[in-house]
Amino acid sequence: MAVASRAALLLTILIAGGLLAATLVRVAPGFGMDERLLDARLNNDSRTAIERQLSQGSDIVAYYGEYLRRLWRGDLGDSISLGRPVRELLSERCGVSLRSGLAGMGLAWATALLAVVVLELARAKTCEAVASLAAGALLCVPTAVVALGCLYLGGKPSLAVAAILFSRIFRYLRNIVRSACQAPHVLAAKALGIRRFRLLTFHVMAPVWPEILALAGVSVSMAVGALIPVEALCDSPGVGQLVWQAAVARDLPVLVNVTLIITGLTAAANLMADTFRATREAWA
Amino acid sequence: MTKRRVAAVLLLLLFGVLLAAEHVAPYSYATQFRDAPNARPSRSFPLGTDALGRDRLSRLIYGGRGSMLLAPAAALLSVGMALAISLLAGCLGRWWERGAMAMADLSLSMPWLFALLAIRALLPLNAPPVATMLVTFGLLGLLGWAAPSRVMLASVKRHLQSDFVLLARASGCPRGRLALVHLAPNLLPLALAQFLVTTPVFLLAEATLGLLGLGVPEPLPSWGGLLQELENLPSIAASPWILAPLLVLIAVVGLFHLLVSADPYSV
Amino acid sequence: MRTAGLFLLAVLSAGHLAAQWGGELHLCLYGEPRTFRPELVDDENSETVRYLTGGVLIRVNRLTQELQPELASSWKVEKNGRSITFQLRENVLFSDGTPFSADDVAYTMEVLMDPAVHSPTGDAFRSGAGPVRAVVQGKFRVSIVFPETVAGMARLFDQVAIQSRHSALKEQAVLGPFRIAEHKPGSYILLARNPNYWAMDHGRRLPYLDRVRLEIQRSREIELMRFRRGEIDLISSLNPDQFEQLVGERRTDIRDAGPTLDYEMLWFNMNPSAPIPSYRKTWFASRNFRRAISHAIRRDDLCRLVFHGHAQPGIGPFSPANRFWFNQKLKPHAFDTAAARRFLAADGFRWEGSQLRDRDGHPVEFSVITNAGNRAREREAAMIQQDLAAIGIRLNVVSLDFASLLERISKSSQYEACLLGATNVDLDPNEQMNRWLSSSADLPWNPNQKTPATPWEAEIDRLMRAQASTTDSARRKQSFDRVQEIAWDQAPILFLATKDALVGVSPALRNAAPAVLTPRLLWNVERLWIDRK
Repeated sequence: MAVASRAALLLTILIAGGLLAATLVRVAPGFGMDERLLDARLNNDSRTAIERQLSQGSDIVAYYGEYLRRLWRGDLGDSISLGRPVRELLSERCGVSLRSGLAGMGLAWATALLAVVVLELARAKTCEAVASLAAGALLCVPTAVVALGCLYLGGKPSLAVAAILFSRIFRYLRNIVRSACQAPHVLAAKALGIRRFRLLTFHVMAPVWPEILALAGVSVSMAVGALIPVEALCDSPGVGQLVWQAAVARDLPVLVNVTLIITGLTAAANLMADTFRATREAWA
Repeated sequence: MTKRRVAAVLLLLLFGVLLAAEHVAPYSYATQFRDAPNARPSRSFPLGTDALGRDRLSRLIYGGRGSMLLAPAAALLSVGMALAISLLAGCLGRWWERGAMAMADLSLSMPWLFALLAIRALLPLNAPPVATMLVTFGLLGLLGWAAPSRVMLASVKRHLQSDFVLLARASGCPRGRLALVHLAPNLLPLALAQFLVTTPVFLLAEATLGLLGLGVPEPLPSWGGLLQELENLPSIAASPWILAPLLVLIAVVGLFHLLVSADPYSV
Repeated sequence: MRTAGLFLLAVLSAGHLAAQWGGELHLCLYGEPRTFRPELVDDENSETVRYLTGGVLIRVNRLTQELQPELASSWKVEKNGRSITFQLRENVLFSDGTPFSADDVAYTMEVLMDPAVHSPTGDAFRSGAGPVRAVVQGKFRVSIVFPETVAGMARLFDQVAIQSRHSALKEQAVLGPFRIAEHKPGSYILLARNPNYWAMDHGRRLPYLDRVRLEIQRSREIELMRFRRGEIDLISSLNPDQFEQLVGERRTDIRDAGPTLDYEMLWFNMNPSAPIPSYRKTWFASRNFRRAISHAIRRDDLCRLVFHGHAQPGIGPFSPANRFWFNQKLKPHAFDTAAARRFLAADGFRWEGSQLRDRDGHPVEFSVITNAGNRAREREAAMIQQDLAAIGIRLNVVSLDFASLLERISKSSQYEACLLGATNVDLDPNEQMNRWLSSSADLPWNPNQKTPATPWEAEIDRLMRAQASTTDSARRKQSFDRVQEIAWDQAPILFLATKDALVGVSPALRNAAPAVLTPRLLWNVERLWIDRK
């Protein structure tokens, strides 16, 4: 029953997300515009034909209803700006984005966890200061500079994603762990002479795993958010680059589909984190 | 003097300089010395000039005024909303919790850029630049609650199982007081982490949004806009003084961190 | 002219070196081509692919700006520009081996002129109501007959890539030097040599190159990085900042080819139904006001600071790069504050301290929209803001994303002034017909007029129609010279600067001679070769 209700919630979020995204795109200025209309060679008939094609989706409710009907049949519609089926575009690009995103997230988490563990074990003010400064500095560097810098160093987009995510994940993790260290049971364990590493893993980090899990779920949407500018700037042919182009072109079919995917990923990641946490609490 | 006090004093000094920009900056941010474009640092121009001959130091000072006042304010807004929503969701029960988190997931996935564009379009063309900045940062603040609220909610739920909360409940503590007095202080580390992360992110977001017409209009400078010059990486080697805004921003974020961080020792 | 001559000399000199056959040329496209169907090409990226793969009957030599025979060995324009007859080259094959004949030309025109296709190239041929007919007069002779005169018709065939009626590969069977071999969307397009390309060199089929790899690269920074590393062989349009960086590095592989046909412009919204305050409409409708603004702008500073000297002050819709059509008598509006003040005073404007006010006391303040993300244009706007402040005018710069800007200038008319750039592809003023006719939807300052709002707009209408209705070059030039003079005098558009063509060429690439017409470095792609020594 719990599983069914969670699945129903996920479905509701997906449908609402698609409609909301379609509405946002529709009401934004520039919908139905294309630089083709600036071509001075076009006659009135051609201009009218282009405007008609671009106005697809003007009635957002009707468009979305039709979209859901076609989605049921596996038809994701055609991109207005690229003139190709959205399904084709996504299947070409999903692999690239998945690899960059997962690799970037994995690297960011591994680095952040390692940094937190090392800082806790080292207990050196200098290390703490340097780590904070480095993480803070990374936060201050524009995404474009991070992405271009990684390219200059011969790195892949996943490195840029990792650099962007690391500072955020590290900051949260550090504060979660530091606050957990003030807990009475930790102080008691320390007084009992328990070794630092065991103290850190069993007594500090173990109790705060719900927050860490929630952060992991949230980092999925952070990764998606980072992938879009990184792929656009690095010209990596992934979904992020497609989204950027679609946003500039107000390409409604692409944006609705990609929003559904992102909503699904985000909701699924967070739902998994919540389910795991709830199951663990039930066992406890 | 403790580190916190030093950080507070330095930040106050900085804000003082920024607020008194008219008296501190050597020139107006808009004055173009067209005979000295891309000038190297000198006595007349301590940080050199930009491509239009505008004094970089003056633009750094004036730019900080908008960026350093509005970015932290927007960050505070998003943190405050995240705190409030996570406390409400945690304390009011399962359906509120599910509803809030569903809203958070939706908020994280939506292309809010288009909402920003729509709201910008509603502003009159001759609106004062301050209005544009306020709208941009205000919207960033309103939309930035979703990610931290999830993490904070997990923390709320964990603390709800704590002994001190059970004791408070058993003592008849009302839910409001429970949230504000017993739970909220335990969320402060997360809130502070969020604030420290979000302030520079919002500051830079303004510059990224500038690519779409949602940034600070000319000739007003902003730190995000000044940092965009760094995208031309080879120019950094040729003109390293263009790193000045980045170094100042790193210093400011570091000072904020010193000001708000918990005690350094842990295990 | 001198630059073109020098490069022509370089080309001829290089030709004496024995060309090396083979190799792969690397360059960047700034986005995914929208289409590979030649008749639908309307963006720069698709046009590049069309140029490299499409065979045309007549080619405009990008260096000399003269017409030269390609698939047509000769042609004749008849009936006062209502018909053109081509004599085609014989024994030419498409890339898949299908023979080329007059029937393919007829088929191409059918596709182009199909009303359901809405081809921009086809629309350029539509001179009047009535069908366009292709009359096949033999296996290698065909006439195209138009209902009305098409002025400058022969040049238009430079954009018509001939397609095969009989090939199973449809538009993928080509007559150009290359054919599409591979396409990875979002990543690259690989072109391979057309084994049946008609042009020869010493008995061997051109092109010299085996392949051309078009990397899809939006970021100019990354393109420049790759050029520095030698991964890219040429850059057709360096921005001025990049050019200056490379100059600073003492690189010899960068060149300023001289003024292009592209220009930066500012115009005022003179649409009477625009949702802007009526007193501002009164300002913008006044020639004196527009001329005042024009004389207050320091065009020399714009060229020097924004374009690092790689631009010329704008004069009119055509730059000196357009050798035949440019009106040599015109000069840029000089920077002259005194003249600006006189123009304003003539309309009753007055100064209160440093603030300019109109005759009703309104402070003179208005906004200019421009596209966000274009650093050069944002700098231009900031400079114009400062220039106008000197005569008491407050200019508010509003950067918008391109789609929002397009909506305001094309649909809602919710703007006051606009700063934008224009790209001319064709030399002939007929291409600009829709930018000057008062009834056109493309007229920047007041589109879709039912009747011309002013006598000078009516005169422009008359002159543009006159030049379009004759094939006599001298008469056409006379008409269009007059259009340029009216535009200069009335200043509905302030032409700010004409940009130079800034290119980067790998030292290993031979026969590269940059032209100011697009595609700047690829115009003689079949004769480019890579020196691998």
